[in-house]
Amino acid sequence: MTQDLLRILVVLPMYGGSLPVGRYCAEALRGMGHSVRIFDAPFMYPAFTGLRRLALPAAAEKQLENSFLRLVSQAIWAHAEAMEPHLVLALAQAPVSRALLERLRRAGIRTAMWFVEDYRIFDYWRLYAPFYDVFAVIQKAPFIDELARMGQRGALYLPLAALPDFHKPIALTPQEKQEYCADIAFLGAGYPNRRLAFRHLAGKNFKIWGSDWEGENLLAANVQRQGARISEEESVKIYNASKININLHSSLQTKDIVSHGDFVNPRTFELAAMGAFQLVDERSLLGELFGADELATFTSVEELYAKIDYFSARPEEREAYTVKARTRVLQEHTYAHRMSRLLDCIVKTGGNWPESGAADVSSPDVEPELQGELEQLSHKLGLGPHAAFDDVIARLRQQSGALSELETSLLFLDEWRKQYLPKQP
Amino acid sequence: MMPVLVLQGARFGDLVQSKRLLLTLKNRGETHLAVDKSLLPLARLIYPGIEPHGLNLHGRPNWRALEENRKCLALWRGLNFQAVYNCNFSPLTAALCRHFEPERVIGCRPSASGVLRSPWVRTAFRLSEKRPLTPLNLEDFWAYFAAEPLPADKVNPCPTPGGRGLGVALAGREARRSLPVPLLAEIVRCIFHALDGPRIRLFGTKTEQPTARKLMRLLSPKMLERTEDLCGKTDWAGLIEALEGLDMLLTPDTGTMHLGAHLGVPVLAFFLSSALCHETGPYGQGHHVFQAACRCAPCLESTPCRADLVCLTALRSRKFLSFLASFVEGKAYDEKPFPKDLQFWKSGLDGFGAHFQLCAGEDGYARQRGFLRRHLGGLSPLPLTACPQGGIPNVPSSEMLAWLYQDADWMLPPERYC
Repeated sequence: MTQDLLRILVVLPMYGGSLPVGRYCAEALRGMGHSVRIFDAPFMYPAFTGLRRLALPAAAEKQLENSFLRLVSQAIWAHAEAMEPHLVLALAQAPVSRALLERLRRAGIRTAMWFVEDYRIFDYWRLYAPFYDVFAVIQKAPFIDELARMGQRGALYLPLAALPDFHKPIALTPQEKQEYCADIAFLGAGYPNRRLAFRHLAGKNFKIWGSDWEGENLLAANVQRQGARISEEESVKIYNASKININLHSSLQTKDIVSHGDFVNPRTFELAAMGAFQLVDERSLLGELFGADELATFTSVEELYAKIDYFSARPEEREAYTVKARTRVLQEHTYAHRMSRLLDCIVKTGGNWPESGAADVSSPDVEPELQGELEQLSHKLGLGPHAAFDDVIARLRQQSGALSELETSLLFLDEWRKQYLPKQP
Repeated sequence: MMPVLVLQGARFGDLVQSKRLLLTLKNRGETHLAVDKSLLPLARLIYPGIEPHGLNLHGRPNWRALEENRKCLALWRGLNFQAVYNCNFSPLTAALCRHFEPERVIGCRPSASGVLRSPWVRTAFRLSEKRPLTPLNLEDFWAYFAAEPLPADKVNPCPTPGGRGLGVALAGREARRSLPVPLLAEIVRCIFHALDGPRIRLFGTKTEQPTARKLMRLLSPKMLERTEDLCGKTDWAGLIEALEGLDMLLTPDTGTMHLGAHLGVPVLAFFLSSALCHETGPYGQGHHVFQAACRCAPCLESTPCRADLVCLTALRSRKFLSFLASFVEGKAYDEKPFPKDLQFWKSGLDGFGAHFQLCAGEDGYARQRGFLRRHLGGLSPLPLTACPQGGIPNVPSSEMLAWLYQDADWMLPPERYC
């Protein structure tokens, strides 16, 4: 039944690392033909930060923050009421309260969380996991077992992934090459273990991109743009432009610079999908995701330094790794693969999707002569050629400025159908 | 000056009631009007000098119709409208407005989340929450989409009997707004005698033909000799020709009524059920309306009547027929007994627009309506004659203030569409 076209509401967090992951999930689901809406919680974030800046008494601030979160939950519910989704997919830290989860359950809407965080650091999952139908995580034992013990029947190991249409090899302009090219590069936040590891590379052609590098005097010349935040779009250019991308998983510890943790970060999959060479620290779950000839790894900083030198001089070997890694990602580690597994798990846990209300039930049969134009429009809107009609409409609504004749006509058609066609039961 | 477009996607009556806005804009420059294509011939007839465009707005959607609309949109792109006046709070016309830069759209503006209302449209919708109090005629509502609209007395000719007899519009769009046939027959008989046996013309669509036959069965042979059933037999031009010069048009709240007012035909209207003369009464100086004023009026046409159609009781009384006869004969009716739960209003015009003056019956909302009209009058540089100074409080009740000035109106940025 996961072949069914579903209506899915993806609830993003207001901020943080799982934000782009949520957007990638939505894109992948759309690519699979589902009708997807995003609850863009980041739009609400300025209201929250504004509240903090008012310097209210602590007790009052806490009360107002709770009220604010209730308001956000109400906004999500309003979205769900309007859309009547089959599934609400929340990403880690999404502002979905327990009360809202109960409400969604009562309404017959299934819920899933993709908890793309380290369960040891973010332990709020204990409170929320029982309220979701499926709780997908990026770590295995003992986390999965612990979820099962709590009664979560839909605990699912779901490693991160890449979005091939976005994380792809690209050609850079001469200006971009000048800005982004480097022998060695790292993109990410300045965690303590990274600060220590990278000091040794300060004198090399080494560019550090990303935030939270303040006070790291030795690396000040390496940090680009004074540690400004880098967009997802720009990160693709940076990775593509660098001969060697260091991928050192973050750690709050300074004792072990290479933390030897379990989960594999998104950067691993993204770099591989782009065909960009990376040196990644060993993780206990990495071996089942990539072969030894697909990714070059290191287990200590000394090994990192040595491999930087080794691979700097061997472009052919770098290319051999990148070709294999990219092939593996495209075959097994895309967000489409992950979303497919997630939907399978939801069906396995809760049974088939309700028969009625597939996403395109009320979509009009498009005249053949318009089909070509519609596909071109889908492409222009960043959707696949077989995008659901509702998704095309949702994208059109978000466009600013004056629309073309075709775009306006489609919006009109959508309203026309709503007005004159009986609503599906 | 670049042309402007008025988008009026509603029905017959609404098209006629857009006249003050359309004439205002036409006097200022090239004006285009978009309507449902079924109304295109009418638009051409009643708005010469305004360029009409027909769109497929009603009926079941189909691709052919969509293609036709698309051609129209392509034409509009070339015209580069300076402003687009979207009259309807409707997702349909809002979707069409996406063809233009949002800031060019006036009235009801599309957005990602739905249809946004301008402050003026918001004000009007606020008034419609308390319908018996509202002093805003729909014609004026649309007229004030444009700043300083044409003076109200320049819109329609002064109603004048033309010697061509009595017109009877048989039904409104909603059945409960219309008089039941036996009651209508009694009223027609009364007027026929009071006017000394004029010609009678029955107006309606094909749907009203059975009603016409029922009515004619209740008329005397003498009346039948003088009666012409035009239901379903006229095109728009024929309807206009048949209406022109009538001495009186007897009608519920219909498009035909507005067309009559447009032509200067004296209107005698019966406003029942959801119809309210202050909102959609005939526009001009000197039309008359019998308005149901029972406690449940105005009601919602879409919900079943739980009051056993009490609004008809007053019209069935002898007092009413006697009053009606005096009025039609031109006799003094001030002292005539008048049934309760009914009002008799005469239309007038002032610096703001249309207003109705009570001629008989009681109006429990006069003070509030007077205050609201003064509130609206702030929009117009011309004097309001419809707001007698005596009896209207300058400061309304706190409850009314709280309704008129809601938190979001002043705490959130002004002049915003929402």
